[in-house]
Amino acid sequence: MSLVFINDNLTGAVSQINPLLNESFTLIDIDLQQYTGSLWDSVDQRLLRKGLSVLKMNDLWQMWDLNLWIGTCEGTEKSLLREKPMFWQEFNAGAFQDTLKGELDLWSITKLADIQWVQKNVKVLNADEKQVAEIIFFEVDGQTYVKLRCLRGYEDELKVIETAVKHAGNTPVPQHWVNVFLYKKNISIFNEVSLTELLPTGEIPIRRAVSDMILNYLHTARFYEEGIINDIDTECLHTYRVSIRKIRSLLSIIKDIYPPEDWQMLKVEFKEFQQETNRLRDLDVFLMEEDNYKVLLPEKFRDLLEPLFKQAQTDREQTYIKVKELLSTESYKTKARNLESYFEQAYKIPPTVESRKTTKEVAQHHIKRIYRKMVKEIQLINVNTADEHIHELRIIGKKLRYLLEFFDPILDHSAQDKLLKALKKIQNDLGKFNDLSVQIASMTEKTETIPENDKEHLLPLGILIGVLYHQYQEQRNIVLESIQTFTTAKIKSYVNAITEV
Amino acid sequence: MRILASYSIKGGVGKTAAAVNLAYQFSQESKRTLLIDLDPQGASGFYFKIKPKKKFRSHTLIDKKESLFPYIRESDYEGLDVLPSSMGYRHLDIKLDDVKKSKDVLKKSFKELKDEYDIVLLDCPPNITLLSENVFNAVESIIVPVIPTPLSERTFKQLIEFLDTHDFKAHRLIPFFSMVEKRKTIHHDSMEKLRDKYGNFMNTVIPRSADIERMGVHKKPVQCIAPKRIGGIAFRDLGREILMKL
Repeated sequence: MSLVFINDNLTGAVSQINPLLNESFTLIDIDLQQYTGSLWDSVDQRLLRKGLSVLKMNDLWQMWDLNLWIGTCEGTEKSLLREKPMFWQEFNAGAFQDTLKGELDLWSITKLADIQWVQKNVKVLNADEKQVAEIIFFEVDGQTYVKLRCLRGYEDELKVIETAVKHAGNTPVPQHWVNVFLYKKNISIFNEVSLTELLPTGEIPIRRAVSDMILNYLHTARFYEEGIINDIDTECLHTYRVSIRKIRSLLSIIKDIYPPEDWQMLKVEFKEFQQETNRLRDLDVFLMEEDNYKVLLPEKFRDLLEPLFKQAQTDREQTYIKVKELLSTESYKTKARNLESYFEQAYKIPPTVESRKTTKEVAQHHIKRIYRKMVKEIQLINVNTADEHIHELRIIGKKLRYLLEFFDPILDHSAQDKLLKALKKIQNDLGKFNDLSVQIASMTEKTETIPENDKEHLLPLGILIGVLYHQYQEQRNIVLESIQTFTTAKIKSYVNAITEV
Repeated sequence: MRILASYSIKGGVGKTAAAVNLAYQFSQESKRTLLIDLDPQGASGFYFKIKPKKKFRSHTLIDKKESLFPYIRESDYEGLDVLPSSMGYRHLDIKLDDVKKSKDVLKKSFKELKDEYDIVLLDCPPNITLLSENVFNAVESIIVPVIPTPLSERTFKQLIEFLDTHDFKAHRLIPFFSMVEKRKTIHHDSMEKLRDKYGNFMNTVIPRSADIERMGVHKKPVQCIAPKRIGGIAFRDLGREILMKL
């Protein structure tokens, strides 16, 4: 389906096109309609990237398919209307909520911009009076656009209509009109380059590949700074940190492609970026788990946890201000810009022996190395192994997982898929084990802030720690069994296929 | 994906009207629906003003290498697509006879549709052929319109016996009374007798209705022609009742 741009007002549009269509078609004009509302999406326009948009008109929420340019379903809020970020749970059950849940999961939608447009829909009928297409004219912000919607099975007819529309003096516009609209409103459009574009072949030198990947992740992290500063969505901080974590992982696994002193500097800078936001993320995760913690307790004890979460909320507000200030400082911005500049100009740095190797060679070497390390660790783990070693296994597994994901475009696709699937399974089990460990440690720390004689508030915490510890022990048993699946001949065969042994 | 068929051994019982109106109703109940017209007469397509594409050949339906998607056309109603019939379908039995495992051909052809549609409804010709056997093997349930007369009772019984020999159990039938004239005692008596004997008749009854007969004039489902009159209401209710049963 094509998008064209015309230099005309809406009322004249039909009369321009009509004479150019042959007698096989009839145009049925539907009245002009005016729409006023607001455009909503996640901070990083996840819906827009899927060709969707949420439009709010008065109290009505509509999900719009931007390709078909029709509303596909409507939603209603559960509680009173307020202009704040909205999560899928805040809408009533139905197709609208399902779509938000499927596309956004933990992300909220926020208002991106107010929008007004005027629209005219024109049905195109064939000689049998069957509708074969729709021409949608709409005017936004002084620009008029035309969309052609083809009914399935009538593609040949659409070609004739498209020719007529183009011959009415129109020019195709390559961008989606919503992108144009957002650009004019100075709203940043999220644009992460895909790994396939960054790694078109395994033959490119490793330093170039790694520098491009790090730069891409750094741009991603920087995109979310505004969301963190304005506290739009806790997912902004999470995504920022995931991007930084990936950069750190790349630097720690693939050494010796930058001069040693540069590598040391990069490690320190990115570690600092991560550490400055640790506390805020911990508090966000803790507060998100509030309901989950409460259901672990008998009902009569649940309210006794309130002071704990209230304190956490206060801590969170104070910690957020510190992070906001940090990200707003000139020194942070300068540091971030300098890092971007470093990787943009990495090609100027004198090569090292390692930096000259091809991406495929280096990737395969490290995948093999880390896989072997992982298997060795698993073989040493038994029922008596200390928990720290199990946690260490999770960290090694994460490196392997990142490697497989980073270099996905240049690896054996089938083997990589299967290996990643097996690895994700045990990483999930290890992850749950780690989460429980962190939760127990966090709760235990909180008991130290409550006076010893305050039995009323210590008791629910004690019960909670007990429940979590029981889950922790159970999860440990699951992990001990689960990790053995990674030492099989089948897994080894996947690694061999990827590393071309 | 649920595959259903509108089928009867007898012609003129309201099979195509049922297929068209039920397909429309399913789409209105937010089920992505595909109506496949297997009758060479092409009546279902006619009701939706849809003709087959020039390149469509009957063997496309049974050729493993060909996809049905390029020949499916969108109706004027959201969520409802149609695969119109081809005159070549009158030779389909001959073509099917040449194929190995000839009774499972349609079942395999429809597999590619499963991610795209919630319901596929087949409008079948009124006969018992290799094509019909393919339909019985492909579908979950058969919607059977029955005009409540003594002759129809006999035809319905024949159908059950025939289906039983092909391992298609009676509980998979969705029979309903069609073209009913409530003032006729014979209709009333036949309905009572059939309900007593076969407990699976739908509660909703489709009346004889001028609006249903005028579908061919307007080329629209009856729910669009006369949504508030008995014909339109009956098919709306029947569609909903069938969906509840599925």
